[in-house]
Amino acid sequence: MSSEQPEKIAAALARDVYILTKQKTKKDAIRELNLRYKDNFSFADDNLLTAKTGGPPGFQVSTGFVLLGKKKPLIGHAFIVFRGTQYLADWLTNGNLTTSRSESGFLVHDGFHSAFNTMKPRIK
Amino acid sequence: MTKKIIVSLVLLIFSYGVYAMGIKQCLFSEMTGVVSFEGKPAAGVKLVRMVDKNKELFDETVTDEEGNFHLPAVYRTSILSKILPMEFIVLQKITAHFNNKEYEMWSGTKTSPKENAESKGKPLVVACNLSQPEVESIIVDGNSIHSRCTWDVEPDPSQADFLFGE
Repeated sequence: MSSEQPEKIAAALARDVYILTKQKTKKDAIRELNLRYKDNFSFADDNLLTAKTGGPPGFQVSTGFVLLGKKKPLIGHAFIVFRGTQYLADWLTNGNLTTSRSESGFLVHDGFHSAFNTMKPRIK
Repeated sequence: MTKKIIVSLVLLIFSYGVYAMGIKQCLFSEMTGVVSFEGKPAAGVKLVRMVDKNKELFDETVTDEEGNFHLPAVYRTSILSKILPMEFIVLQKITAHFNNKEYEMWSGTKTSPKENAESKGKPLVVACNLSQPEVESIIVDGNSIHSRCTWDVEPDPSQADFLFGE
């Protein structure tokens, strides 16, 4: 793997996460993934990750996914990809500017921390 | 009473000002074209279009005797996106109903609010062949389009080749 390749892959995934999470079916998401990355990745789970962002109770949207590398040099690598602000309700998360302690003890943005906590069980 | 009228007028003018500041976004560019089946123009094909940014919007048209159709552009004016920036991402779909069968004619994503982003700025004029066995998938300015149509556009080079080599 060249020294720039991880950054290039990360940049491509950060852009494509919006298109991949917008798909309505797993079949459509796989079609998108294969068009953009050929046979180098597969989804780790049957369902895309969802998170509770700010907004009405029960409001959930696809927020990210976990990809597994299928070919060299990506075999053995997992990629956890999250989208950013896409819906108005996400601004309620962004606007939660208080801080809370992360598992590692650092003070972090509470809105993002809370959203991450709703996804954490699925990532484990 | 006069005070109430003045306050109402001020609010009306202010709300119009906010509206005028809104950003006009193109969710699906104007599309004209012709639909064919087994090499002949397909008349009476019902085309159902779905556009989904935050909710699904539907409209439809029917091809004429020469297979021609026209779908107007779909716009949305967003006031909030100027104040609270959000990623622009739209799901597009056109389903063709012909001879009691459904065909996926166009499925795409649009991540630019500009008109004619689907054809890199040129008018979107398509020729669609419903008898084509599979959809063809291309990427145009980072947006994927799966269709049974051809139009004047140069697809992006393969991202996979760029990332992983030939």
